[in-house]
Amino acid sequence: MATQHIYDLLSKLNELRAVFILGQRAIPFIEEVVYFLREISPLLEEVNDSLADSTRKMPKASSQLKSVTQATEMATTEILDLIDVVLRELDEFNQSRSRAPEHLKQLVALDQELQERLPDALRPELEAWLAARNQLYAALQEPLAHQDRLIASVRERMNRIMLALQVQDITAQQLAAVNHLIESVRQRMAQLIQRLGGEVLEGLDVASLFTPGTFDPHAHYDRSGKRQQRADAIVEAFQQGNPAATEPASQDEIDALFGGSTPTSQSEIDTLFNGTPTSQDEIDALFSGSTPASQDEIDALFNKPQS
Amino acid sequence: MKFLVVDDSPTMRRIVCNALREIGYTDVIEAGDGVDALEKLEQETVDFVITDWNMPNMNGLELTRAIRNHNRLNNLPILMVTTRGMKEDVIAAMQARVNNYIVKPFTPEVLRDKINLILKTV
Repeated sequence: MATQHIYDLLSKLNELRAVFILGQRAIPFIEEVVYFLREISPLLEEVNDSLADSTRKMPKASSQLKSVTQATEMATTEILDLIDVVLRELDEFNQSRSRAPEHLKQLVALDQELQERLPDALRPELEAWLAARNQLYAALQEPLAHQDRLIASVRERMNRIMLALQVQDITAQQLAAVNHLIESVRQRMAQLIQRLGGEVLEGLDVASLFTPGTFDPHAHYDRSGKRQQRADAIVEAFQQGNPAATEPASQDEIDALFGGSTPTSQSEIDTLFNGTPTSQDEIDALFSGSTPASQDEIDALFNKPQS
Repeated sequence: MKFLVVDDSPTMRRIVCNALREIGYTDVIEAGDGVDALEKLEQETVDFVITDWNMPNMNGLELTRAIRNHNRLNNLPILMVTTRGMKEDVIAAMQARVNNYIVKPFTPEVLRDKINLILKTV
């Protein structure tokens, strides 16, 4: 029994020795890890501070975007007011000017009456004057017609300017979408900072900052008419009782959903990793060597005698 | 014919109202969102609704559904004028039973054509 106990004890001691040896081998690694953690700790702190700083600055960016929207809305309102004034004045001018041809006609009629009532003795002398006067009346018709065309043209251009101001509404929606994105990122970053043990940032209720559904994230100013044509085709299909006939989503629409016009290529992905695909050599170089570590080197790490 | 123009953007309301005036429709009232629009529809007799989609409180799609579920107003012509031009958007609007659909930016010619088209069919 006693001998058995001694064997057991020796066996346990051997196991303990193996553990100590393993521990000894592991110590350099643990030291490396501790050293690495010491090195990385200020870096993490810096990242944390930088995150907090960026997160604190985001509301300013967001508020500046809101100011831009408000400023463009004010400017647009001023332009619309001016267009209204111009259109109103054009209407007034048109109204007063529209009486001119009628007045001219009345003048001609009065002249003719006067001509008829002239005594015969005076007629030869005044006839030349009256003829010249009639010519002038006729010549006046052309400038009046020209004025008509000019007024219509100015009116048309004013209306075109007004319609072009739809860009303000579209841009406002684009800015609202960017704003929403900034606030969402800010919220996520603030959550990350909190998890990293940083400060708790206030005013992170995204829902209170943006009324849902008040902007279209895909809004864009497109005057080609293609989007209207596509909408018309769908409306027509519905009106003909055949909504299933609507064409499938185009690549443009799919791209728009992902916020880009072209898919990311492999070369673009490679560029992110310094331009060329990473080779085995580059990976080895990261571990301080241009050639793979030999078994001897690995053994040396564990203080194992060479065989 | 009385029009109700519903849009949360005062700029867009002015633009639509002006475009309507230019094509001969001068009797126009305005609302800033779907809730405001429903109140105006209860108070006044309106013959035609032109609505935006993206609005606070009640959007254009919800307004359309509310009108279609209303006993008195359910046959009111509705034209949606919006920046949303994706296929899914147009389908959703048609399923909510708008009469026609315009993608911003629009021209007065398109507005006139759509109004005439709707008036022919209702």
